[in-house]
Amino acid sequence: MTAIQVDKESVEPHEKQIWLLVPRSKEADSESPAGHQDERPIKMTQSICPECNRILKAQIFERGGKVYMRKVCPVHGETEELYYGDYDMYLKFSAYWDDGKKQEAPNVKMDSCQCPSNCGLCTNHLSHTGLANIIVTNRCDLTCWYCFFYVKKGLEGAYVYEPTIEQIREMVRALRAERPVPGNSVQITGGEPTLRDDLPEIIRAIKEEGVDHVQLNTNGINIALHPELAKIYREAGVSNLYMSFDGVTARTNPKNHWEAPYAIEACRKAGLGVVLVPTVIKGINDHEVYEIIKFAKQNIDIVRAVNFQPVSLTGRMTKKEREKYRITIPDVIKRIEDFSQGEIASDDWFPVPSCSPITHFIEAITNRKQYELSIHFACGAGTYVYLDREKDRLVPITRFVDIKGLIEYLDEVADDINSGTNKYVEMGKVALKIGSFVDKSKEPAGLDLGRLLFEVLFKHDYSSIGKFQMNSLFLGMMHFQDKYNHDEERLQRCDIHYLTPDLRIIPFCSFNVIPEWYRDRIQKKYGVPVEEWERQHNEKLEDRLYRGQLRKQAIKEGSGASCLVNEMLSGITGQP
Amino acid sequence: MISRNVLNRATARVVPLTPQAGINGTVSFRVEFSFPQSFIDSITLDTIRAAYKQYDRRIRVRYTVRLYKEGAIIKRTLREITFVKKWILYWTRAPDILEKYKAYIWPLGVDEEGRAVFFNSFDDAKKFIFTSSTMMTVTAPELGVGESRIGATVKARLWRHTFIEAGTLEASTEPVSVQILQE
Repeated sequence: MTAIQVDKESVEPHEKQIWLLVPRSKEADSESPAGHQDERPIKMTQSICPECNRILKAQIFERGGKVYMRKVCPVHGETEELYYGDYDMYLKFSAYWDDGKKQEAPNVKMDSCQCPSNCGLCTNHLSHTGLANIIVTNRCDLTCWYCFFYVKKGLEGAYVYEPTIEQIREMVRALRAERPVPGNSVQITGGEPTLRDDLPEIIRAIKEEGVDHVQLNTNGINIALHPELAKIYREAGVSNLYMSFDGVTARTNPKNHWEAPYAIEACRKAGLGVVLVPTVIKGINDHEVYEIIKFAKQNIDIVRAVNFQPVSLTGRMTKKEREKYRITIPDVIKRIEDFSQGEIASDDWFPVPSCSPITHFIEAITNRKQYELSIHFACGAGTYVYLDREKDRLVPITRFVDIKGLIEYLDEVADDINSGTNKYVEMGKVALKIGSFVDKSKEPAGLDLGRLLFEVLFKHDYSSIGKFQMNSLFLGMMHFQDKYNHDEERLQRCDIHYLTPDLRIIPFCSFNVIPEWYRDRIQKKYGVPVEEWERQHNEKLEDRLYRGQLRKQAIKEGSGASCLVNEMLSGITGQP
Repeated sequence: MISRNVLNRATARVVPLTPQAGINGTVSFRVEFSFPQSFIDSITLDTIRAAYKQYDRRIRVRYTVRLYKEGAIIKRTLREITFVKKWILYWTRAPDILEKYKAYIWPLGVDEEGRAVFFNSFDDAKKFIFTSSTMMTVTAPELGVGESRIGATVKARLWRHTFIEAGTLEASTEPVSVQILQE
């Protein structure tokens, strides 16, 4: 049967509508996965075969307090995968489910679409772009074993992909053309974007196209080596750095252990906020998740957030290998609770779509569609923590704000306004009541969260949200999918997208999970062969590889760590 | 749009689970409530699909259940509980629902504890949100020795949706007798 019924009454396609040459998936004609005695079925969904991408029926079920997915391909057999590490959290988080506003300005035709083929976006897609990635290069100065996203010289069909500034402008215009909510947040990514010498011009071009938030995804090495870059990027318009940071030891973070402190210091001097981004792999660095938070706490003046990313298992892996490395959002949350001895507990976390009632309230009082984080509940979670300077402890927002009550209250007020009560009366009531959700006696000294919340609700602009963020440390989780745990319901709600030169806007988990249909195809079409790039630029790809200068320098100095690294990591690793 | 008139026929009843108890014991009741059957029948998959398309995707019912003891003049409140049940309408990719119902908009329930409830049938989903069954327990001394007449009222608040106006349904039960014995 056809996977979904198509909503024929949807709005007319966008003028930039594009037909794509992506092979359509085979239909969902797989057999239903059989259940087992010790399992409790939860629901059904659709997934893909990790071998052949055929669309399959998939069963989500509980076993032993965890949630699993099972699917059966008629050709390649059964795949069972851990989907969510805690059944109770699954039920609690799924109660915040909230479908977004759909795409009313699609870039691909609906009748050629059968998810996950032909993504780009179509009117089946339920979330507007929350964060748009623009790959400015796929060159990188590192060659990490687990990374899938840099051009590898010597491989057949290796292409260097570097869109021009004009192409980038066009991509951003496609983002701004989204309706009902134009995209307003861009992440410049790679490869390693700082390898592009014209990066400041790219940043300025994106800002000129009307984007408020520009985030730079980097390993920080170039900024550590050339600290002046932080100021240049800041002045060009970068809002914050999104920096890889996989652990607090050289063993867990071979990528930038020696360089990250220098990069952070450069950002501190430039006033450029930093988000630390650890990719969490079971058995590799999951024991350091709380140490990473402690590192962020030590640098809370400049580190705005830690965004943990449980690893996405790409490529072919056996079930045993997957079980070895697989970790999900609840597992990371539980580890943080255990290692912090309850300082940040499981109950302090909420799924990303729990923000939706705030959007509903603002929409009710403004009568206008607003930016909304309507991703699937299993894709992300977060909490805010505040530094209690007197006790030198992190205090999660839930310890002094009744978040659940506030969310419920705002949703109900939105319903009241939509039911015809006077919105100004309701706004007055909210203004008076908002403080009652904050327990002042438990609020960290110097913080006035009631006022910040008031500004978010009633000013609801970029700067008031920024002010709310600046006073806190945001802890987030974002679990990207892979072919083993792929869920069409998650993909349909994805709001982290890629902008491509053919003016498509492709969900992250299509772009990277099925690279043969998306990422590789785009890079080949719009890139140049490595050899040609080397000829054109009169340099070798490997010329820009990082050779570990800072690490070597630190070892040469004899301490095993430079002063700055020592200072930043002391108290975390126990080093002198 | 569903007529408000159909809502005037909501039903409620109170069932004593322990009709008799000693003075040191407790007495339990189950208070049942249902929206009018005609209203429940009128909510179809077409109704929720139309609501979904107009971004009307959360249906919330706030129940207030009051258990009282009938006196000569007044009805003394013994217990009062308020809770919310919700439907969240979402676009499902569940092949079983797509095949059986030929529909892609489906409700997800949220119970009184704020936990999700997944439904396999649309009748189950409607039963979940449009009926309630509340357990209430009172201690025997609160009722006093002898016969007590116990009743309940249930209010169900609905907000405005594409298919109905905002309003509150109310239903009262016939009182039931319980006997408290001197031990």
